[in-house]
Amino acid sequence: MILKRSLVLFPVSIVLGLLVWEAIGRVLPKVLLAPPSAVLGRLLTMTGDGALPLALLGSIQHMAVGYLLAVVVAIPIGIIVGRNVAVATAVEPLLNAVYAIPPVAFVPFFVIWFGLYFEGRVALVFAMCFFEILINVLQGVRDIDRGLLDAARALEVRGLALYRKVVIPAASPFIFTGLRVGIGRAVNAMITAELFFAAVNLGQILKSSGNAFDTTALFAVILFVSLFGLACQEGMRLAERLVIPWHHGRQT
Amino acid sequence: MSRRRAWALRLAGVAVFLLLWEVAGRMLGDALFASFSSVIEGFPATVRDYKLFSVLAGSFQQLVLGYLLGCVAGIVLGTAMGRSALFDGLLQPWVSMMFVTSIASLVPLFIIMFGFGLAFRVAIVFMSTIWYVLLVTYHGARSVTPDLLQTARAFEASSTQTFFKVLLPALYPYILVGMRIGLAHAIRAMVIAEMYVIVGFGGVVYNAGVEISTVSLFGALLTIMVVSVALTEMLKWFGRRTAPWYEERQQMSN
Amino acid sequence: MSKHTMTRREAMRLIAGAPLAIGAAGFPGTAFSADMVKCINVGFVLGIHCPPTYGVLDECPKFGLQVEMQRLQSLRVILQTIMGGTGDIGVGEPIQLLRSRQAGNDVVMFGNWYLNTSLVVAVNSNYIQTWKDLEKPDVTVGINSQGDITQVMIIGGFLKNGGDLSKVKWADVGGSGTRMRALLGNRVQATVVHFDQMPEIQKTGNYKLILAPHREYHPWINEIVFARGDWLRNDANRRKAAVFMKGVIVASRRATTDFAYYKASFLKYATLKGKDTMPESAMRTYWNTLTQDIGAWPADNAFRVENIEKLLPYYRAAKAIEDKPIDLAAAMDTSIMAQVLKELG
Repeated sequence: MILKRSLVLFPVSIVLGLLVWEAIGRVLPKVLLAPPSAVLGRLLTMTGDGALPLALLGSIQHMAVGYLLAVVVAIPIGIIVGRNVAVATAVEPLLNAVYAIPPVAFVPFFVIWFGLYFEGRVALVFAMCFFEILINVLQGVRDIDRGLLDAARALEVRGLALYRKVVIPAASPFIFTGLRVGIGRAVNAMITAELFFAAVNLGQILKSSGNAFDTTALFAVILFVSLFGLACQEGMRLAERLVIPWHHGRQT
Repeated sequence: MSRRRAWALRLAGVAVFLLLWEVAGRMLGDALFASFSSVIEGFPATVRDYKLFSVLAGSFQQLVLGYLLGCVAGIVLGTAMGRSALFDGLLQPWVSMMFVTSIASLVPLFIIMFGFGLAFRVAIVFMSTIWYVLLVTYHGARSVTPDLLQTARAFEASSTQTFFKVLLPALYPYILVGMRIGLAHAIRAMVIAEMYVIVGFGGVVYNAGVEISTVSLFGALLTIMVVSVALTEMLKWFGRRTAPWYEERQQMSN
Repeated sequence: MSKHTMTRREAMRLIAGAPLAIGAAGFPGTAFSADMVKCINVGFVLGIHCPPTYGVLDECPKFGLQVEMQRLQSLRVILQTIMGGTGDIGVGEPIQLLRSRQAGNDVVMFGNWYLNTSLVVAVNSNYIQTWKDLEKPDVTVGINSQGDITQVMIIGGFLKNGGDLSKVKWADVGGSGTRMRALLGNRVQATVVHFDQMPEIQKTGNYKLILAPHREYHPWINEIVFARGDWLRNDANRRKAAVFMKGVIVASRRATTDFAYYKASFLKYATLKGKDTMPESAMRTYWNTLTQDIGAWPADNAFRVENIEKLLPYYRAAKAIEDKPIDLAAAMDTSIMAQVLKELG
């Protein structure tokens, strides 16, 4: 199943997409869209000479730290708030309020509080994936069937055991959804952080390509990051399969 | 929990937040981080000078249009991908790839395709909302147990019946989360798209950001926050109306 | 389709001068049907931008040209939009335009939007007393982004004072709002802000002005008017471009000599909060600086090849343009301004 999916359907999908891209490119002005053939060629050169992979190694650092921080903070908070009605009611309006503010608006303040470099980037990555993970965990914990909890209580499962054996397993589908959405956001944030703070690594390559009006290089970098993001999300899917194999409802 | 207690708790939460804001503002000063009282004091001027509320009303159009279109597309595609391996294999790569790309890269393309007007802004809101609704629905659709569907088949339910009476209810919590996350991103996208072409509410945020004092900027952001809370409550209310049975199933109400 | 983002103030009525009020209401006021042109302009509108904006939106209709103006936040997107054909005339940055030409795009400048700039270089005097101090290891210089106008502006002054570029630490900070806050929050010790932001900035600490472009460069070119080369080669479009610049010149000349005219344009188009409550004395001081000190709206537009030629070394030093020769004569179409000046006298 996995084989069929990744080895057969994915390449087909990518080829189809490239054809669509080629078609759109013919219609739109050349200044906007570089043709897939040129972009792929450039992607290969930039990867081959090490420019992109090296930059990725740099970019991945603040992404990893920001994402892990968000996961480590959001999951416990989500579980506690999800189980505690009073806290949930008090905190929810604030959550909804702050969540709608575009990260762009936070940047000047992050610059002041965390500086222009690594810490600032980590802060932005954290801010950009925290809520998505939290909201999914919250829902996962709330979504637990009352019947399940009543049964657990009847069997005298309480305290830490309740969490370990009932709450977390029952909430894991949503937790993993949160992790998957979160990592997608983290990849986006990885680049955004390098564009809004002092430009380094991949963000810098993006910026200089843009400044040089080199659309081909620009798209090559965007495609490179997208493929990386795809890999991350598929990786998360694999992790889900390994950790909660029973979750899979559908026969693939 | 009684309604009164719920409201008391909400107010308590808000009060703590405002207190922290006030303290931070007093310590840092208006230029760096205006305090809550400063923002409120300067709010009438902010509203008047930037025509805040009429601008906001104007911005709502693209928000609602883009958001609803994004939700519908996201639910349909997410379910399709979740239930069909073929769909999943064909669409997943591009969905995942587009999900991680920021809207900023789309802006020049969309301006040329749609111009500067409503269509452009709706398109940006749509492109921001859809991925979240799609991905969360997709994960929900993947988790529907086969027993459920087999039971439906045993009862010889038609595929439409299966979809509406078995699948959608099972997907309900996921759709709700997806729509909720999508809403926040729709609001953000509305502001960001407008900041790019310096119109509407986003334009106000952009112009206010240039001022030395953060009073106007925070006033605009405060408005966004209130709007977000109000819209999320509406979403939750709508959810309760369409699926009252869900409340009972949960250990607590939303 | 595209709306004016500037608010039309009722305060127009207060301005003495009925002819002004009629023109300001934006009616074509002419008997013949108006030509149309789509102009794409940048960001917020400060005092220095008001007269040319007024000239194009209020004077051009009198000459039979309706200008639809759309503002965009990013200069690069403006260039892309013009190159893509969604707009006809763009107001942008000369450096980016030259860079775009080097990348093979046929875009051509045909006038200055205004001359010099209201931007200045501000420094934290606790860290920086002279230009040499920019080399100190604990000093970071905040610019919008590498190779852009804010960086070139600083580099020019720095190099002229014998500095060593390799020792300077640059940081991309983005728009003027963020740059200002980065300065006030001491994340950068030098950056580019607008001169009217200086008094406010100085209230919060030890900051001083270290460079004013009009005193350093003679002149400084900040914003130019451009279009696609093939668009300009069409006669009807050339005519539109000429009328466009005619509006700019008419307004430039009036705004330089007539404070009331400037004030009208300012109240109508500036996106500064508090402009309606600004005391006239403050407005006049600002206007004096712009006209006497900076010379922002020259009567002949000062659109000359040698003006940009003088700045090229600084563009190159900042690596803002590619290290290849540039054909400025091809990049700058001076014939349109020549035509306009001939007509206006």
